[in-house]
Amino acid sequence: MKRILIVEDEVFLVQVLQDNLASAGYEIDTAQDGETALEKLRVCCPDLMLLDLLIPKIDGFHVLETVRKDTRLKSIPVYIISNLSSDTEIKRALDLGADGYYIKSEHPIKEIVGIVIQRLEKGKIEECREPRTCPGV
Amino acid sequence: MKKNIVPSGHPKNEVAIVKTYADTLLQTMREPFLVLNSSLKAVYFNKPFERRFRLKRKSVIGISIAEMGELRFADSEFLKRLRLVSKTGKGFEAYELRLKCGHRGNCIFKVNARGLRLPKDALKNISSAAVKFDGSKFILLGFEDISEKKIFSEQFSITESRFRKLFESAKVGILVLDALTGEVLDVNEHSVKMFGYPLPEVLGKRVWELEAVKDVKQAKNALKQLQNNKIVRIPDMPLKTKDGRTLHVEFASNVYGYNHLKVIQCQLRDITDKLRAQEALRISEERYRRIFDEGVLGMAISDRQLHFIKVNRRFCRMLGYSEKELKKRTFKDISHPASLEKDIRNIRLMLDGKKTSYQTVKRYIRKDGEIIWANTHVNYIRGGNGQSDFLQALVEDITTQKTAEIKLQINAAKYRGLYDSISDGIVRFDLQGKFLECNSSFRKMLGYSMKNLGKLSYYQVTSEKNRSAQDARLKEQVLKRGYTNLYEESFIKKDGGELSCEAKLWLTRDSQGKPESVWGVIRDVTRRKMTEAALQSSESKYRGLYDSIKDGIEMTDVHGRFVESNKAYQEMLGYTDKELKKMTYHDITPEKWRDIELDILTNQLLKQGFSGEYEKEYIRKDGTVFPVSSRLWMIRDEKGHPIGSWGIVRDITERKKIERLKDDFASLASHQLRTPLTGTKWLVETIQDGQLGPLTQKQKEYVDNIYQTNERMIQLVSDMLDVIHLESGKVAFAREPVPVCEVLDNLIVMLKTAAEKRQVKIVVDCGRLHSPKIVADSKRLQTVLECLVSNAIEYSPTGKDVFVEVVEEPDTVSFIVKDSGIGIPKAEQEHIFERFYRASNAKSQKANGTGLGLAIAQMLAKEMGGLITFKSEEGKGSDFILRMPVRGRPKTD
Repeated sequence: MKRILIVEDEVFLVQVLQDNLASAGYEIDTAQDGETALEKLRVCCPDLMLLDLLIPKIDGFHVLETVRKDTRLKSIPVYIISNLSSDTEIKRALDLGADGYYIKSEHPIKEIVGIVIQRLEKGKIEECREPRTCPGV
Repeated sequence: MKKNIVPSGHPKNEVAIVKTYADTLLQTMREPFLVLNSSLKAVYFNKPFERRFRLKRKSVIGISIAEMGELRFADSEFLKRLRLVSKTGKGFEAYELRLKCGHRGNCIFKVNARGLRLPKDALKNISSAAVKFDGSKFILLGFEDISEKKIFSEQFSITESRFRKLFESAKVGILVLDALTGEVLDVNEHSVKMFGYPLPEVLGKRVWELEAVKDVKQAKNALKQLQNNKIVRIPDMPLKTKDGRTLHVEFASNVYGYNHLKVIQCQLRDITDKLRAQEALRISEERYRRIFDEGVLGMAISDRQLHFIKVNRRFCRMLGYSEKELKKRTFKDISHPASLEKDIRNIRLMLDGKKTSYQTVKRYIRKDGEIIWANTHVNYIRGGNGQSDFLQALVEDITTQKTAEIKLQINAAKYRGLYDSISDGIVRFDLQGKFLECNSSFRKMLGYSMKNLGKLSYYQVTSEKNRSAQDARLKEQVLKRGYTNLYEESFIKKDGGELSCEAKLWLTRDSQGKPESVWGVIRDVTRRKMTEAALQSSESKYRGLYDSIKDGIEMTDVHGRFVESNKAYQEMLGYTDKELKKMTYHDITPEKWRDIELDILTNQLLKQGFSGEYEKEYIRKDGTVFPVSSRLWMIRDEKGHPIGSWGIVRDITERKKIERLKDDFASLASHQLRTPLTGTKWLVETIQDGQLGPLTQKQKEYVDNIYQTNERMIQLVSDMLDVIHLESGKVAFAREPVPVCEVLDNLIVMLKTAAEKRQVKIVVDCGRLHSPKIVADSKRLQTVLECLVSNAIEYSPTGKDVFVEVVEEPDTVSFIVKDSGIGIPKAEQEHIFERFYRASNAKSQKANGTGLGLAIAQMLAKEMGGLITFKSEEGKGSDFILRMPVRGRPKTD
């Protein structure tokens, strides 16, 4: 069974994501701040990571950077789910090596789930640099 | 001894007799001899005869002379003579006999004939045969071949006569000398004429003994050489004439003839005149050369093509070139273009032979580029004697005179112009004050005519009150010192008005030094006074503004040093005016702004004279740094050189604070507001999905409503963020060529689902064949079009199509979005671009519109240089038109 690491500080959002992804048949692990996330990653190795940016202790940008620099972790697909929407922030995340950037409030939960499934079952989807036009299900 | 009897009359016998007799005698002879008998038949010949005539014995003996070899060619006279000899016994001497001699042509013999009688007892010593010999008559012929001598002498006489002719008629003196002795054999007529010595005084004398000869040794040497068969030529031999003159001759002589016949022939050509001419030429050449080389004038010689052949030193110095350099140049190269046309015209006339000289005052260009004036005289000189013609120029440098002349002319003109045009009054009056002369300015100043002014005095046009001052001035300054200081004087104009003036006076003296009159320059200063007053009042007005304005005003010089600043500026920075004047703006600007400022200075301030508003920071006296916005203007002097700049500076700390708040809010809103909204969204979706169990119809309705409301909030937050971002002006808009039709194609794909939901088809007409491109931000353009098209879809009735038409014009591209939907009520049309405005009929069609769509679309359109307009009728539909400039938003906005 494929394992997904969800890094998100809002509890109710974690809840929803977890429920939906578990019922899609995946094992879920969660972290609510950057430090915990890195700890969990050290133990290794999820098949995919959903990463929020504004998280306590170590922010999502740094987590992403660390993941991409680590030889064991760098090939893990990372999708940013954040409500930060400025062009600079999106560019920064994508430049740091995120596989996609999704503004949470603009995508139904189902869409998020669909992206995860597609990635894990069917392989890499088209690189997504325009969040509002990223292919959905 | 047996005696042979030789019968007379038998040749054989005769031969024998003669042979015997003659042999001993005749064989010793060298000349050819022939003996004939009385019938002229040969009976004897000697060896020389045999050799000479090449006859064999059988062709001679017994043969008649008339038939003998070459002798058969003897003429009849000869034979006659011979017969006579035979008869009479008397011979002849020196008969010239011409015979054909075969290849030699003619042979000439001198023939001597002798009758020969042999005595009876001549046969005594001959053979025993008894001969009855009565003594025959024989002819003894002696032949002397004088052919060569004869030919020679004939030829000689021909040549001799030719020579004689020449000799006598020659225009040169000819002397013939004996080669051996040197004696004069002959002189011709001309020689006699030349030297005046008559023939007898000359002939027979040895050549060096002649009185004419001056150099005896030379003559003797010449003779010796000639005797050795050499030709002697003496180009210049001086000889004396009888009357004591010296003649110079060219002497040429040679020797001819042979052996004892050698003669020397001398030719004497009088070259006195030639020498004289040569000498004269040499002297004149020398004179010319002197003038040329050392003369005061520049001289130059050129060929017909105007190339310099020869130039003198003076010419070279005049023009600053070396002789070598000039020889590489032509007359045209050194002439000033202004003078050239006239020169060429004149030269052409000379080359065509229509003129031999011309003279002009013209300009030349020196090697160093300076111009000189010169008086130039050019002559055309024919070469003669096969030499080519040339041009000679005499050039006199008159630059100093000319420059002086020109200066004088200018000065004279200047002075004249000045006197009449100067705005100051120039006046002269006598010691009593009566006006003697003045210029037009003075008359105009006072308003009098020349006639009237002439009747007045200085005192009459000035106020009484100044009298004492005037008297004092005259005494103390004018008469004592000769001039006054600048003083103020009020003049009374003709119309009674007062004229404030400044004046200065000078004394003039006559030839004996006595004071004669007074010169004055009078300047009207009334206007100046007025200007000064006006300036002062405006100055104080400006001062008031300057000091009270809230923004800082500063002025710096080219080095950035503060020249001036207002109170606000000083207070802003916490420095005093004095302190600032010692500082430059570098001192109050943090390092990090240096490059940006330099860029603004060079690219804006220097180029266009002012800068746009730009932000930077200042450092206060207390060290705190605060943000300012600044705008600069260049200050230039009369010549246009930058001498400084001045600027208006505003403290924008507050503004920055507000901006930061706005930014903070924006990012705050984006995260903090959206997070709970996302939570609600996903939670509700999960419920709607049925994951938490099935819902009743009513429950589904309520849950859907919650979802929709939440979605509205999410959209609102998004739109508000967009508006804030756009307003802050910090959003970067791309400028790139955007293919319009592709954008529309993308749009259709994006809106496919929305369109299908309402069963609306989007019909796109993208103009003619080629896809137009406009300069814009493609993402933003898409957003604007999306807004217009999705509105069209939203507010269309189901099943009705939406049309998008692209219209191209020279400078714009228009997108026309047509729908046949609910339209916009007329009364509300002016508000629809307002923020949060939703038309009354829109709310019923679409519950959750934010009212920001069109506001944002219009902001985006304007940012790209475009504009959205519309035509709408309630219930019928709307046409929304987005007009975009092809070349994008103008950069100078």
